[in-house]
Amino acid sequence: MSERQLTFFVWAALLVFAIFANSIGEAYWVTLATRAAIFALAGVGLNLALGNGGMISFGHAAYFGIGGYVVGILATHAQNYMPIYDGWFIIEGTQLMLITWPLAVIIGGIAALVVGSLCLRTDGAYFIMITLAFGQMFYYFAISWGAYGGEDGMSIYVRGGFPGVNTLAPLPFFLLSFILLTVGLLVVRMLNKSPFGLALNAVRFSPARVETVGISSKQLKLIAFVISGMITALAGALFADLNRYVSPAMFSWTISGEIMIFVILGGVARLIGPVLGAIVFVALEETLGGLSEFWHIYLGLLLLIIVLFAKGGIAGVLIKNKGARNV
Amino acid sequence: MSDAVLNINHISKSFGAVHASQDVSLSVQKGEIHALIGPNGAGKSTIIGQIAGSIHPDEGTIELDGRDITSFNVAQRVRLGLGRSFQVSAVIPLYTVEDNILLALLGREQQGLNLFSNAHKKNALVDEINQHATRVRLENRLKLPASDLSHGERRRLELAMALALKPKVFLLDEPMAGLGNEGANELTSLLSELKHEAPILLIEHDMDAVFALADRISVLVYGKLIATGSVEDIRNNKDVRHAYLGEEDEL
Repeated sequence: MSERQLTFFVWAALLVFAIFANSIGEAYWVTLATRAAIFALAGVGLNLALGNGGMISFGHAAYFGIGGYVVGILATHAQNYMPIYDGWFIIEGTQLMLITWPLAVIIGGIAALVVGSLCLRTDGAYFIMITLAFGQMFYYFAISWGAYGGEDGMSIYVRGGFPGVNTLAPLPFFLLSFILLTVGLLVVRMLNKSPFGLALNAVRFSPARVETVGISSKQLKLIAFVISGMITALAGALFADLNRYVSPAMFSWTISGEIMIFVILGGVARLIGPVLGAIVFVALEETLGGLSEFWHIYLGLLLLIIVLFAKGGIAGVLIKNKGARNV
Repeated sequence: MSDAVLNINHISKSFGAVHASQDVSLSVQKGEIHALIGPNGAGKSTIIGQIAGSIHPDEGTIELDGRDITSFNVAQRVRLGLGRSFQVSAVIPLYTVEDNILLALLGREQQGLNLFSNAHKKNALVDEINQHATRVRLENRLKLPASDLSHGERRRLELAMALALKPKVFLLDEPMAGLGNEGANELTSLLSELKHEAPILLIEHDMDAVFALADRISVLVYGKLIATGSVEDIRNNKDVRHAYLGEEDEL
């Protein structure tokens, strides 16, 4: 199978699965597919930094959580009719996705810009640790933020609204998530084909080489990191509406680890990799998680096998590589 | 010295107690190949680093085309016309020969931060890729990943990438390293053509090549420049024979 075919196949399979599940009345399966699509989007974001840019961020839960909290905070104010800011002008809470999504993306991007410009002074293991440290800072901040539920988080009574769509029904909400996943994939594909992408994927192998053609590797990486954070923040916003609940757990380092697992399981630097990884993750969580509380042991085993014997992840195994890879 | 493209004025660099460069001055003039030689540990890499911008000199200035570039970083210097090749080939192994050269072209066109267009649909650049590849005789290897190239081919690709930048001066760090006799000869003739496009500062271990190619030679020993002159001058220079050539009997 070529990479193109696999990408299309996995993308279509998720869509068909959700529509089929809905048609036979299995709403829970639709919700699972939604969960997979949202996790996939978070992974698509991380993959841009980790896979294409070679930046091993162990703190992407920060952007996932920020996306969630933007939705949660706006919803809280919309629910209790208390404006967020009441001074010269008034900022009110809202549950309109067309407002909450862009805000989640923008605030996620600003956070990634600040964190990224500090973290990118380091490299390798230090980069991993400092991104983890920033992630944990957000986590503890959320826990101690009493105004917004502290440790308990916030409940969103009614899922956010989208004009003309009944977001409370499983399939329409899946379709919204799926469309955003598709947009995320298209953005990353466009980036990878652009001159920026050609340079970014080269930085992973040799920053010195990219510098010597006159391109600043720091700038490349920072831009990739910011876009990566924005995409993951969007996933977080969807996740909040999916569960109708946000809590500091969204910022937890285990989330960073899970997003990383989607990418590694599916195939690092492959467009469809994180989607494949997220689907397999949700499927395992569902099947094995039903059998044993300790299903992570099996996940760990699978991950071990992938890392040891199939470095390209599941996508790498399925794709017949003919010669050079056109990233 | 009006024809100098690259001017290095009294640069010094110390790492702790080690004086890696001491008051080094040299220039590269239009149309010449200026070779920098020196025994191992003489501080050649430190000089290259300072010219390329990865090492900042403690003292002294570096001018490119009349402009002080001492405070500029690597990428900025490249954009101003410094074309560099590496001692150990630094091509992108997963990229085809074509894409490696394309990367250099996109760098030159300052397209590195262009997020929106398709890098492979820049038809104007296709001809140029072919042209540079032909120049280093890699025209039949365009679609091959760089990792599949032989060592010599990779060295030539490296050179093609430097060429693609259309620099004002080439900084070539041991381009002959690891090439066989035949490969070295080929490269020698290519370099002697190249110097008419842009002068070359050649850091090289291969003495045959240096004596065949260089218009001027500078000799670096323990971080100091002990002589600069024509090939004949250097051959006959006592200090050089003592400090450098004396150690290598074959010369």
